[in-house]
Amino acid sequence: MLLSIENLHLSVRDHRILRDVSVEVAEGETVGLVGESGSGKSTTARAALRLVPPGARISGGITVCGNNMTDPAVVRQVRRTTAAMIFQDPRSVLNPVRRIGDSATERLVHVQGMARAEARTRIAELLVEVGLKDTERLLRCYPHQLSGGMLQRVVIAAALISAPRLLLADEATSALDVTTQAEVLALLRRLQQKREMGVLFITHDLHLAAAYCDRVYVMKDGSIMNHQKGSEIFANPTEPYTRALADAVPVLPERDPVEVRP
Amino acid sequence: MTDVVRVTGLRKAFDVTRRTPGIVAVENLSFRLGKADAIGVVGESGSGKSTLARMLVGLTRPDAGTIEFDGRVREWRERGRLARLRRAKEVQMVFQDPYGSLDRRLTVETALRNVLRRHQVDSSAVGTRIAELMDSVGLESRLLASRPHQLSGGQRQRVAIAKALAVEPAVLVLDEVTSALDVSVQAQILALLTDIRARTGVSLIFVSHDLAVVGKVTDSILVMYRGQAVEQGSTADVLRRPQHPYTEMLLSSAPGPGWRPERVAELRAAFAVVHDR
Repeated sequence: MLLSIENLHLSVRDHRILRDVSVEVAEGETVGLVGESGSGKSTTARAALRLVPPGARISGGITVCGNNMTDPAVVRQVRRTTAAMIFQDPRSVLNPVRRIGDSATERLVHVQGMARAEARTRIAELLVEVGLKDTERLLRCYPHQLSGGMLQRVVIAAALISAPRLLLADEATSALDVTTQAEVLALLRRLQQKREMGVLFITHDLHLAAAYCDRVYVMKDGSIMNHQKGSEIFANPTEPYTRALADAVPVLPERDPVEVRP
Repeated sequence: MTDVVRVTGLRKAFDVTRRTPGIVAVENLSFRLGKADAIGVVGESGSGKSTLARMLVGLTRPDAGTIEFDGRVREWRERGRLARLRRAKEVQMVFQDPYGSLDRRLTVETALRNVLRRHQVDSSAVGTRIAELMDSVGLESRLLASRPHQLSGGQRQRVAIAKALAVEPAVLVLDEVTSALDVSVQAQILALLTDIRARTGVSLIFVSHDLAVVGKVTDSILVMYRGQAVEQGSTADVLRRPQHPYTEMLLSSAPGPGWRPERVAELRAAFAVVHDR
């Protein structure tokens, strides 16, 4: 298992935020974590990298690629190389007054001590891989000069720069248009298959999770309510909360069959 | 002649500098809306749907074209309190983020009271009117003493809707009002809007990127692409029998059974070859 969270409990002062959460992600697998606001899905993903709120008490086991996430030195090592995280809003990740090239190579240059020129070559290759062109110009741009879809690709490239085994995507495509979302997801799947990466895909969109993920966990109030294969969620929702969540989403009517024009 | 809103040949461009022409946000857009009708405006980011919404409520001045409310053409030079009060009764807007439109320092009651006072509601009637408004958006009266940060996202959006309804406008423009809400809360707000429309006869202009959501609350849909209305028709027709390839593409992009991101990306690329410059 790439990521294995076992019976995780997390509380801050008297508030219990996570109760008995167990989540696993295997190599090359896309696992969805779905829930409404406040269900604990982001907290779970962050806890996987030991990014917990100050003063939090946690119990339960977390291992990433077999590394037990209790030793601070191991945790730092995992954050540096083994795992990467992408978020909903690339604009809040990238420093608005720094050029994209600087932000994107930060990990290599400042954390891993790679020479700047070499790091730039690496990120340029990755930008091409995520479907961006004219990379030299892009690296000199500031975040406000690019569209949301382009920035999210940049952030994905920056996340992949240390060749992580595990990618935690927290609402990574929620702010994008449906077509751009599909483009980014198609890209993510391609990169994932190529690198045998495990992806923990956090989203509030049950339809998206069901269609995109191999397995889906549904969370509510800090607990896992349901765990099913993505393809089975709508065909056979076994659990009442999942069913309620599925029913709350407005669906498009069936389209009339297209007539073939002569 | 019974159109509540009539938009003809609306155009708006945002210039990069004074000399170089910039982006045409809305181009030659026309539609009409009857009393208690609901029209949906859908499109992706940059399609011009928010610019259209802002022009309707008078926040952005169109370059060309006319907007009529109840047969009266909106003039851009008229000033003064009376004109402002009349405009407020013509159209009100609710935004995606209620935090942005509510004053954080004011309680729900003060916020509503201020609106009613400004519109010269009899001070003896203000109390009952506030109670009515709270009731019509489904909020309990104990929340009157709350400030925005004490409310949930759905409650805040209900307060924003109550504020908009306070002046009894003929038209309500809703710009992505449910996009930031959880699906269960979204379903409640959509039901509330349908209920309010039936009860008060207010016309709705519902702007959203989500076709399924728009399909829930409207009778007709206008699909925008790069500032132009590429398709316009009854909600059932547009969703079931889309005529324009762009609408078709939007419909197949929404995740659902059989959806594959790779397929959507291909469709998008094929569309771009034909339609994008």
